Amino acid sequence: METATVEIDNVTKRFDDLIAVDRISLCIDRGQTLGLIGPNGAGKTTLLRIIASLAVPDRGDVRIQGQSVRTNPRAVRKILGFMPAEFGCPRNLTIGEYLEYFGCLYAIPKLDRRQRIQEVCQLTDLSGRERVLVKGLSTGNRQRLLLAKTLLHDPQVLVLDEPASGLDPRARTELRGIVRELAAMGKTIIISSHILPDIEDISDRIGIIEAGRLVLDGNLDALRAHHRTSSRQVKLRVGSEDATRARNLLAALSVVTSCELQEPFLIIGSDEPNRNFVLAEMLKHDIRVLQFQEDEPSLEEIFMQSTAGKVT
Amino acid sequence: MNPVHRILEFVQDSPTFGRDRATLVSGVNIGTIGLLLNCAVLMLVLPLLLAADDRVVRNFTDNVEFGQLLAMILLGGSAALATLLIPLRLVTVFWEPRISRYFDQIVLSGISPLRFVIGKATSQNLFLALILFLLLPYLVMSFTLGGVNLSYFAAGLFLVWLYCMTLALVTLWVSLYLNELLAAMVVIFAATSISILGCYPMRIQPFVVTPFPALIHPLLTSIPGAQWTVGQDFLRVFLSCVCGMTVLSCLSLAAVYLGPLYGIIRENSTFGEVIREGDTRRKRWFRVRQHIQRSSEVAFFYQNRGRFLLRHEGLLRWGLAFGVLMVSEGAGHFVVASSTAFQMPRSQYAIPWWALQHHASFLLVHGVSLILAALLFSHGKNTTYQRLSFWRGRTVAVSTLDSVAFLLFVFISTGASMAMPFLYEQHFAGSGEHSIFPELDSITLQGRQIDFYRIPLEGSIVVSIVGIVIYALQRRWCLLTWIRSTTFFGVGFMYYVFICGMPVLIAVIAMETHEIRSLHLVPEVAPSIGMISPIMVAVVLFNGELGRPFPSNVSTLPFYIVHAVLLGLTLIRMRRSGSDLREMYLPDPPQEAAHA
Repeated sequence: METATVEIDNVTKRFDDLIAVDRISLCIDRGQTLGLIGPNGAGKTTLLRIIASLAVPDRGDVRIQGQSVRTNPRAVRKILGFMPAEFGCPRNLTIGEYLEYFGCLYAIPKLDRRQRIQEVCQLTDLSGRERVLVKGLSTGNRQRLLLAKTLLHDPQVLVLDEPASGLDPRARTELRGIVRELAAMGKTIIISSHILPDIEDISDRIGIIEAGRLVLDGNLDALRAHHRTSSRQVKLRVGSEDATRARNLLAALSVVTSCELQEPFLIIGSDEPNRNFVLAEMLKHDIRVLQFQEDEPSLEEIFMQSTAGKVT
Repeated sequence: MNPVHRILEFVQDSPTFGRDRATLVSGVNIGTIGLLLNCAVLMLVLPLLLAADDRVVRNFTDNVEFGQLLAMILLGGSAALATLLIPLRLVTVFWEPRISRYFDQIVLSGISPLRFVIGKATSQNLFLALILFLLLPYLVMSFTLGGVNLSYFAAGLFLVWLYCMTLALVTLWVSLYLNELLAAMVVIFAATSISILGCYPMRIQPFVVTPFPALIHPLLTSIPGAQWTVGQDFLRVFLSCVCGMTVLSCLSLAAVYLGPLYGIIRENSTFGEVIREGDTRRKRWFRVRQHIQRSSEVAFFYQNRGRFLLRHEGLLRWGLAFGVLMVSEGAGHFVVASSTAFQMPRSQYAIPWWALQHHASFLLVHGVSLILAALLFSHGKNTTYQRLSFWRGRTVAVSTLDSVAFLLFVFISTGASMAMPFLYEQHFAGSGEHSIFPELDSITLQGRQIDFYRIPLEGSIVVSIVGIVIYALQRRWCLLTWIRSTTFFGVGFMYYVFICGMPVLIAVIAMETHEIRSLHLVPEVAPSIGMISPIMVAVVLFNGELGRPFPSNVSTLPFYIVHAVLLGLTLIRMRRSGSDLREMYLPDPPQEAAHA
């Protein structure tokens, strides 16, 4: 039986009276990308720190490739890369010196270090900027550098805490590209973010945390199916000359509960789980369909439905 | 790769070494060091200029070549500058990662604490090289002036280098337990004090952990008439300094390697998370919040130690502590025995004070060793019930190791304290007139006889009982507190006030105040109250100045009874507090071999 890469087993963490993480259990398989979302103060960062062996759980345990964060944190640190939300850096270093410093920390042999630094710089689009001072970098480039540092020792498991925080849309898009590339390389990634479209875009699986508890966990399709109500709407776009005819045809069907024309779409309501009858009706009457879209619940909607806005 | 290359790579591949090497030579550094160096040299030269006619200064200038004097001043100035700057330079080793918010990244890299800090310690070589480079014009001048004894100069230079390394390692050691600024201040204060004491002319110089005894030695011995106070042999002083600093460096290195012990890691804003009420306010007041972050950070950092240490941690820690204690006590006994051997044949007195001093010194060595053992073999509440690998992964609780080590040490130390005077008598003192068990018929201040055989036997037992009771009190209070050293000072103070001081005070007041002494039973009871105190027991053993009103044959039984009761009550309380504390410790996770 294949063991999950990351096993979070009934983890609880308290700070005095405050329960930051409450009996969370999760298993993440090799190569999977888990997006963790939750309101501020939900316990995401605490959970990530426990996974990264920077906090000790009061109850339960986390195993990374079978190594416990409680009994063997040193082994965990070898196979895990943690990108913190905060960028910390030794003073007065250039990008090259910064990566060299961390290369020494990770005990990468001197002969391999130079090559490894080049590889991570290439991966994070920092090549050619090794002599630039870290102090003067933009937020986007700092995040790239932090990611490059996290990848230096070629970890199999990546824990990224708010990597897109403070980035402009272009930088976010580029970062998403890098994360996708890492996922394609077979790395197991746990990523937390407040930017739901990013998470929706790059994650195979979503976990929603609120008040320290994991309120929802599963892949996006399953979550959508779970949150899809029976009377969902369908958006249909046809040529403007056919719009009125199409509306009348559909409105006449017994399975259709509502049909409104909202230019340029027809918004069709139905209790029927299979919406193919709409297309069949259009084909039958030779009406050209320009766009057909089932209205799926977005991650934001799922998030809003799943959480009650509780903060620990 | 041969071992030398391996060690060199271990040092040079330390990230702190590379960082220091990259940043040491800068305008700011050279300017600051140059300025301070000139100040230090000027401070040492100033007496020669301002008080040229002073007798001491004239002694130096008349008897020592100026070039030699200047060369020694330059080395002294370098050592003085190192005393000030090296601890301050070392504070950045943990401080910078903390305030620049990347300490957690260092922890996560899995680097061992020793590999991380060793680069910072060895980069002091570069710092010393910079100092010497800046001193170059002065050095050229002193050599040009002539009279420089090259062997003294080379020996001095070697000692200054060793001193820099020792300072760096000691600062690193201390900074594992105190916040860095406090650690630097403690080291600077201690090093300055020891350096000043090291300059004082003494026949046997005990402060040989700085280069100053050797640096000042050629100057002192060149003064006519001063030789008798310092001894003639430079080589002996030089070797003493080398040994002293090497031992201290090795101890510091071992302490850095072993590191602090943490079982329960206090959740106190680790890595800057605000999690406690009032933290925000504290953050504003103390920007770097060292007071609350320190131990947690170091705790996580120390999880990165090597597999060998983690599998044999108990044996290494307790074995090293036990070994250091045994060697220290042995050295103490040796010094006492040597001192007696030196004094005994020269004694001019009718009363053999040296015999009393000999016995008192043995008891003092025994007592001091027990105090150190009580401190070393006790741990705060965060560690007491932690289980750690003793040998090849077999785990033992810290409390068990502490108790066993302390009791074993008490047993050996008591035995040694009892036996040593008899062994000394048998093998060195002989049965002649210089016995340390002299037969006295009519002597002592009170006109009572001293039982010299009783002193080592009962004295050692009394000291051991005091040690055991203090240890039990210390262990009991450690179950409630986080910091053992502070607890130890508290326990020691309370014991001194309530057990040593109060009974004596009560007895003295009762016996010396006529109105109280005349009350019914007071003359019988008051001496017994006084005898609760170990001080009074010692006075009785040495037949000292009890004062006229005290009866001559007062029993020491109250001491034993009160200490037995105190010990019993403490053990009962320990049992209760211990069971509460055990619940705070994490249960071992299932299906996991420790330190697999």
